[in-house]
Amino acid sequence: MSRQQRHDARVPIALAVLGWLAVAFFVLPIMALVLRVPWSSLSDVITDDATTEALTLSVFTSVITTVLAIVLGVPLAWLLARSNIPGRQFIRALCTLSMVLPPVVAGVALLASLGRRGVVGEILDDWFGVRLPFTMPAVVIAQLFVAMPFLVLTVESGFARSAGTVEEAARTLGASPWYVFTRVTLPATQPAIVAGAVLTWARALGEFGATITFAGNFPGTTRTLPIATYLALESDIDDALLISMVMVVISVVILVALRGRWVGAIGGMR
Amino acid sequence: MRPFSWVLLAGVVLAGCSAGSQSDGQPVIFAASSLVDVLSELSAEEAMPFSDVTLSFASSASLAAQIIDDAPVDVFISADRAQIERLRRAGFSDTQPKVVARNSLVIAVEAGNPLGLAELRDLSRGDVLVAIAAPGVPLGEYSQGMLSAANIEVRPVTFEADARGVLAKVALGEVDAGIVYATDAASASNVDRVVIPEAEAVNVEYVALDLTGGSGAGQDLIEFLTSDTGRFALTNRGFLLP
Repeated sequence: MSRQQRHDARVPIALAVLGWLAVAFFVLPIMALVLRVPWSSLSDVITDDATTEALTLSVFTSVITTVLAIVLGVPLAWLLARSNIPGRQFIRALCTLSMVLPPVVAGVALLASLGRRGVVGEILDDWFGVRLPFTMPAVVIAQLFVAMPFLVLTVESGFARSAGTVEEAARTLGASPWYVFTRVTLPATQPAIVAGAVLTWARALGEFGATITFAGNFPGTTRTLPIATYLALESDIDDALLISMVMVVISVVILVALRGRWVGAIGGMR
Repeated sequence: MRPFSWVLLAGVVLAGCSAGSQSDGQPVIFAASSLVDVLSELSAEEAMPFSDVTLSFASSASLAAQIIDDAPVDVFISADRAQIERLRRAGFSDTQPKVVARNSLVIAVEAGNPLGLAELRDLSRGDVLVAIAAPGVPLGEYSQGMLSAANIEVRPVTFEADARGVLAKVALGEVDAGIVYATDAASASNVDRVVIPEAEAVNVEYVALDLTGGSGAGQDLIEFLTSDTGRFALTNRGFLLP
């Protein structure tokens, strides 16, 4: 895609005004945050062991969440877009419900199912001695539950768009369904998978409510950066602002880097 | 839309904003979360000196931060004297703060106390999962102070953000015990209390600060809380008197 071919002059004025209003709406709070942050104590907070520990945990868990979301979410998106299973609309609604649940409620739902007294959690505990709450896997489960729908919906629309004649041609030439999926469908959907993975990762990195409810808060195992920020708000607002800036900077760097790397791919989704 | 309509729309939106932030003469109380039941009850019974008091509850630290950011407040009741001192240093009030109630700590256990926990030392048992409030949060500081004073080492599985977080983990059966304010344990369902003598050394005070600058409204509210009606409601909910 050539970047020079955007015709700014032809954008209707009303659209441009509203568009720039939206830009201001996003930029203003971040600018205000940047101005308010006590930058002089930045080095203290960044080198603080508690912060680096929370940061490492956040990056580690959110990356694992993203990988698992691709492994599970792409097949789910395929089921929703291509198969003829009955009640598809209903299944789609169920599988994306966690996007609209208040995250704390999502956490309670996870406890009710996978907690020590949960429907499945009780069996895990009795048979295998496995207890999920308050562990690092619980952090990943909480993030996955809340963030995977972003990937599923993006990839599903990618599958719907790429459905077509090339796959049909591959099949008539004798390709097996698995061959068609891996060699034709997946490459065509790759931009949507990347876009969905980025959305999922961003949502997982910022996850707070479901995590503190299902996984609790323990330094090194379940205290992620958003939880550290929230707790710092209770005692020292300056610290909280600095920790949140660490998160803003990391997110911006990674999002911009991915955008640069994948700009052709994501642009090609149209 | 024509330019005039835009101006009109902007005017309506702005008018809506400013109407919302004025207190219209209704007194506003900011209070620590643990006071939510008793103050809401007094307000619903219209027992307060004013017919409609606006109540806002959150952790004492975030309320103090809101007041410093110019939230319109007449009385601030903090569970943490440090927040009161913070406001006084910033010049928000030159009146004397007044202690209106006290609270204590208890161990919250699952209904029926299945593990038979009887004393504070039981929390250090290996088979007991414990939740306590995080360091830096007032409840967390009180809990840790009590444990250190009693020379008991507890390894919690989680540090919760507040008393309600601890109680939720206990009520859902995810932990066996948690340390909370006595009043919070009293108001929770599915939870039993274990009273501990070590808690007597902990002095949890609720300190009220008049922010009206001596105009009378704030002072009246604080006096009401220390009147017979106020004291009765507080003790009824498990608070101790100053």
